[in-house]
Amino acid sequence: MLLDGKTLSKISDKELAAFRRQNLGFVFQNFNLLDNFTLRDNIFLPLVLAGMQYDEMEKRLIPLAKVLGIHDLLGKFPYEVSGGQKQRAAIARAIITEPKLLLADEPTGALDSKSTDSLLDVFGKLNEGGQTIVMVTHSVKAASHAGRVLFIKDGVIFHQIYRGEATNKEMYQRISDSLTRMLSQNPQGGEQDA
Amino acid sequence: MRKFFYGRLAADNLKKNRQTYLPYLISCSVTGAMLYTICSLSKNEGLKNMSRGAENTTEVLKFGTIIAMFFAAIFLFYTNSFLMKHRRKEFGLYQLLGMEKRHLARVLFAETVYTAGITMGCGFLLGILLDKLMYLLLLRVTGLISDAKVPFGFEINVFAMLTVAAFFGIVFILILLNAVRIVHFTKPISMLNEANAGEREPKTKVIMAILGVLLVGAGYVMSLCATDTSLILKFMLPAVLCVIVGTYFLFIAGSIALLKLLKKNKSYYYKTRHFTSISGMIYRMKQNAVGLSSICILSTMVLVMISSTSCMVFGAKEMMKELYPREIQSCGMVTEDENRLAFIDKINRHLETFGLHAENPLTYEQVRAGAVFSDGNFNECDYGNPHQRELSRTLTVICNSRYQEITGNAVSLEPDEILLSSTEPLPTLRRQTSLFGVKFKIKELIDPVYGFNNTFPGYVAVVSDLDALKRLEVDEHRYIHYYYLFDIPAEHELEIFGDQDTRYGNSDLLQNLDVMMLNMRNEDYTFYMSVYGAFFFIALFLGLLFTVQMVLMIYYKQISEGHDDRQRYIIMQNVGMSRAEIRQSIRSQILTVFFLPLVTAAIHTAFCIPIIRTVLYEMELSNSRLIYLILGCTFIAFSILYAVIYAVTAKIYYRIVSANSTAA
Repeated sequence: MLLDGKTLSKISDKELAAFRRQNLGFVFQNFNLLDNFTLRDNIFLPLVLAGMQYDEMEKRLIPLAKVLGIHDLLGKFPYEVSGGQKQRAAIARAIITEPKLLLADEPTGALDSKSTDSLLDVFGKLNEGGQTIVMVTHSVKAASHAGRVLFIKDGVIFHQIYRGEATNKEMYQRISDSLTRMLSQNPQGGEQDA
Repeated sequence: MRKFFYGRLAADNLKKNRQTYLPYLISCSVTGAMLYTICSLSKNEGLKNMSRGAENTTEVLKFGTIIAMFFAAIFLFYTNSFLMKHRRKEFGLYQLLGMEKRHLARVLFAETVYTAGITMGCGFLLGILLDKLMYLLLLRVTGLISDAKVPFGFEINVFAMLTVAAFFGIVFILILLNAVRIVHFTKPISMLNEANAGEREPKTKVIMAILGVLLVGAGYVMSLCATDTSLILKFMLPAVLCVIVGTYFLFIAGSIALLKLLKKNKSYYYKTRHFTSISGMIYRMKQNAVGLSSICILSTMVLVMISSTSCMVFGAKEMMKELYPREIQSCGMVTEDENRLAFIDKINRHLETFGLHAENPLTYEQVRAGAVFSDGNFNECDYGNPHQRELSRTLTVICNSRYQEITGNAVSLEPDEILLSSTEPLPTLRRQTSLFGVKFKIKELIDPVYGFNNTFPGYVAVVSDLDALKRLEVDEHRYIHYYYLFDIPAEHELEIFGDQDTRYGNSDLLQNLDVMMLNMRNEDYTFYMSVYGAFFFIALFLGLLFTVQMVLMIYYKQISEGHDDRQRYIIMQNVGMSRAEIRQSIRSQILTVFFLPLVTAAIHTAFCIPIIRTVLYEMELSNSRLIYLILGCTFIAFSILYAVIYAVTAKIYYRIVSANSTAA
């Protein structure tokens, strides 16, 4: 595997950490917010690690918090807000560094349906704004918001779907069908559908 | 069958929680062993039948037993409440699975029975092994070893066993009741959730923080002001209480107030190095403040106890040399100057009958009598008047030559001039004064003279020579004491003069020699060591007991922090901190938390020095270099021990933290 032209195994832990910080943003199923930080400080964490000035951090946070609808909650601690709000704070933390790539690992897994909808809306807005998002999910609904869906079964790419001009509803149907087919087939019988 | 079930479950629980229970059992057993040992020593038959001095040792040991039990009870209770806190989730699960609270109580009862059984079994076994070792150590530090017969083999002291068993019985019943109380008053759901709920940010308790600063400050000021016995007796207990309570307040509220203040300073707080540390420290302090302040207090106690008592023991020889310039100090029962030579002659002839003669003879004179200071004069005390008796102090009058010998200060005095020292302020004192009606001019006010008025409140006057001293001599209440001091080989002392009981008891020897008082340096040294050696032993003993408890507290602190930090460690790695950065941040926090109590204990001990010095000075130990040396050595030794404890427990901590922490 290559990372910016370098073999992964040859990059030091420190460089890897810096790379993650500068180029990648992560969103997790269980939010991974630090309990002892307010939402604001949780979001600032990667910037502080990058050595940014406080004023600069504030400048970045305010518009972002408004987009995510958490600007009233910044002084609160993770245990004081709902799961959806926690996840939005986690997204803010992931994209405040303006990463090239946002990686989301089952971001809707711990959310109720209402929070899931609002999270997917946020992802949609970010994506429209030019943010690349890679999301791993079991949720058909979450996947139906994507521009491109890859089906992975036991570590092998089984199938993929491009959105084209399809609506979310049509995407949902196509993903659903593909899943049914994938689950009813044996692992070797992979097929491509463009 | 059902009984069997609860027992099995209890045994399983102990096994499952062995990471926390094993250290608890070990520390309980060691505590049990130590309590058994000290209790058995205080009832030791060999010690009881030993010569004089040993009964002092026994008394001190009895006192030590009570203190040790008191602290042991607190520790056991404290560590158990820690264990219970970490098991709430488990209890919640049992209740969810359908166990009723009374069933849980039965499990807890079985657990307590096992714990008590193991503790007492191992404790007594270890205690019986330790007993002999401690006995030898005690004989060694008290100097009683020379006339002790130490039988071979191990003995079992039934009394000590019953006492310790009763002690543990009561403590464990209380612990069980507390555990049942915790289970009874908590809902199963809240028990399950408790561990998962986010730790709330502690509130800033400004008043408590300020109180903490004030209390510790007050304690320090009191210690610095306590320059003599009466003040120490007044200030010692309040000062100690102030510092203890103040330390708890400072650790609990002061630390958090300070950290929050730092957090408010945005340009300081939002820096890579400070960001995670400050917020991490706030939570660490919230969880550990009580434990840390306990560790701090314990460390201070160990340091102060061991250093002050070892000063007493290691300074004893030198102190005795200063107090008794010669091996034998005798004071003649003579009122006439002519008889003085006769009294010395009688002693010398008595020595000759044993084929010995007095070496390095030294003679001096002094007048010592009760005096009442009023209106600038020192008057004779009328003992029939209770008011006068109350005001009466000992006035010692010595000659200038003797003063020079003691202090090394050469001052020339005219026949009508004196030097004066007093342990209390004398507001109406003028240049002209009189001692028992004889007029003198005060040439200089001097510091309390060592060996005369540092122990009891009183006055010392220095006159020019024997002729001046003779002017004070009046009646049968007040006459010149003639002292005759000399050396003889120590092994012949008892043979020649008998021990203290025979000398002052039924023997006519002193009467025949015209001797009113005869002290032997060696004899007093033995007597002194039998008391202060025992104090030293108790200090070592309690020091060991406290250290065992401290190790356990530190161990638990590391374990609970390790579990808390693991999740944090994973998240920080996910957000883009390198492993090295995380380790550095965590290490600096752990080091701060770990060494904060030690540093605070060092500061407390430093402020204790005035009290220690004054107390030791009262006990005639005036060598401050020795005091500082011993304090320094004790502190270094303790710090090394502390660092070793750190190194060992930090390993456990890192093992917990780095388990499964390689995510993302």
